[in-house]
Amino acid sequence: MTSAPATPGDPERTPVERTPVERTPASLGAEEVHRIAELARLRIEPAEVPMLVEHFSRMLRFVDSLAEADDPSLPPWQLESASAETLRSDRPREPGEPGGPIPAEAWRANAPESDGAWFTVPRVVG
Amino acid sequence: MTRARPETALALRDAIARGERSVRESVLSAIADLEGADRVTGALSDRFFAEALAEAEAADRRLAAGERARPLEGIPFTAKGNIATRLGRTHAGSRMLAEHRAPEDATAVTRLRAAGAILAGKTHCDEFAMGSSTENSALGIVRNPWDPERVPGGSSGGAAALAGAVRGCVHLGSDTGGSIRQPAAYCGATGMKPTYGTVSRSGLVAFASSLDQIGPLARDARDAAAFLAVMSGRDPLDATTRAVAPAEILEAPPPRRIGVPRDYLGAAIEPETRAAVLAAIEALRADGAAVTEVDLPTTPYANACYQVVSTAEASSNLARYDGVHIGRRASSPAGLADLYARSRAEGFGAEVRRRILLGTFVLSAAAQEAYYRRALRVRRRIADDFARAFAAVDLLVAPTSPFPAFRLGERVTDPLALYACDILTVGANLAGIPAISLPGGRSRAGLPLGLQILGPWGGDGAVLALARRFQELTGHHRELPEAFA
Repeated sequence: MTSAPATPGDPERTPVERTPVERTPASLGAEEVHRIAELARLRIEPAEVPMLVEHFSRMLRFVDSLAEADDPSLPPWQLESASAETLRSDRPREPGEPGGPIPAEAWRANAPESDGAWFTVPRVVG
Repeated sequence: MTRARPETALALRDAIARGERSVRESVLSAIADLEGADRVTGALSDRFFAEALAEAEAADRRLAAGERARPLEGIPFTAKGNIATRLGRTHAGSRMLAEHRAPEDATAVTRLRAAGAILAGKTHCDEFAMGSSTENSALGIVRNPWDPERVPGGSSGGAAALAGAVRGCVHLGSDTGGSIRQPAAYCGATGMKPTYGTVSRSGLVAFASSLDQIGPLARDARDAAAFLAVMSGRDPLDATTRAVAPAEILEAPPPRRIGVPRDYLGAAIEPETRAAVLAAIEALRADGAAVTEVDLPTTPYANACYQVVSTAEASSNLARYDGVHIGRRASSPAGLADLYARSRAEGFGAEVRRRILLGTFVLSAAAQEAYYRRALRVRRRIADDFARAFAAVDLLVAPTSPFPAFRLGERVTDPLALYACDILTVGANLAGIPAISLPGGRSRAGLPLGLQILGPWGGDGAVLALARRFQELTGHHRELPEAFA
């Protein structure tokens, strides 16, 4: 063995050449947490906010280490297996065929509320 | 009185094909064993025993009429709670889907049933497959069959607990960052994450679509291969699937050039785990394998990369749970926006909410370049690391987890401590490559230690071939917890 075994996640080890990168602030305030929750359509209780601020700070410090391994000249990873030959033919499927129509009743049965024909929601327009 | 069940699913299938055992007997004895394991582990969420017995009797009638036994005739199997089945609930371990009834079977389930396997139940898992201990389930935690005070691993903890304790059955799991392999390691089972695109994701409740794969948890690599061969191949319902000939999976010869990634054996790996892996490598070397060390230098960043990529995809995939079309709805909403926000807050558990929020942040306009796109560039580096390694060797041998099963509650308060379980498994998901975990011995405390074999893209058959060879050389995979032996 030519070098000491490396430790996954070992902060002392810098196996990838550091590239100069712009560091982002590794924390988010309460106001930003509220804004993200709104974007996520997720209600958060006031009592949760300090915990979420702390969680975000820890997670962002953790994922900020990616800056050390970043090579801005690399193209971002993308899925290479999807290609035109794997796309299905553009035709309606028959009932009973894989991917064929599923009766509307089967979907409505899983809806939290329906009127027998439609999914129902609270009134949106006056 | 029932006879002892054959050790493996394929031995059971052969006994059925020879007429030495009826399918009904096979299913009846499996039900008894699954219930016995469930009493200790709590792994089963849904039971389809009456339906399974009816199917078994129909199979016996066909065999009695002279029909040939199908490839998986009479083998009982279970599906993880996030895999769609017409029978029972497709709950994904979540309050959000606690009563969800899938209108179709997942493609993997359809193929297994067509090959003669019999769906006997569903298993508990971490909510939306987010977790490494099956403690993040809204519907029921699972215990380790080797020590009920310890976790079975996760997120396919129910599947692994049954695979670790019950002979002659196979269990479907899903693996996004190690969710088949790590619980297989903790429970003494053989669990395989196939190459991305090998098994259709149609019918799998989506967590992170570029990482998710369905795979088998079994008693040995032959059973895992038999199930994988039937499940695999192109599916018009999943455009990311690839063509795979069953012979590629079943008949590949075991490769001889084995690499040991230095970066997977560092100081974070507990000594007993490291010793088990080094002993396994020696066994393979003595069997004629050429062993060399290789570098995967981006490994220290794999977990951070995984956290960004997987939460970003999860935040998008879980946007569909809106309290309108499927799942849970909050009562007395003050308008549509409140309906969405409260239904999601009530339906999702704490870990799922944290991941949705992080994923929403890394995809937001201000943060996308600094986090999401950067993570995709690091992901390319990780895939390139593996490609370079596989230019020099055929397969890699490493631990599955840095440590064996930990105690219930030990890592619930600190998400980062839980994520540490995944450091050796997320790389295969990020690179899309196949990897298997198989029993590699036990710790002094008697806990199973997992050995991981990783292969190049499309090298599923080679991974399984080396796993089979290792299991011919050693008997670790045959060990069962004392209560189930």
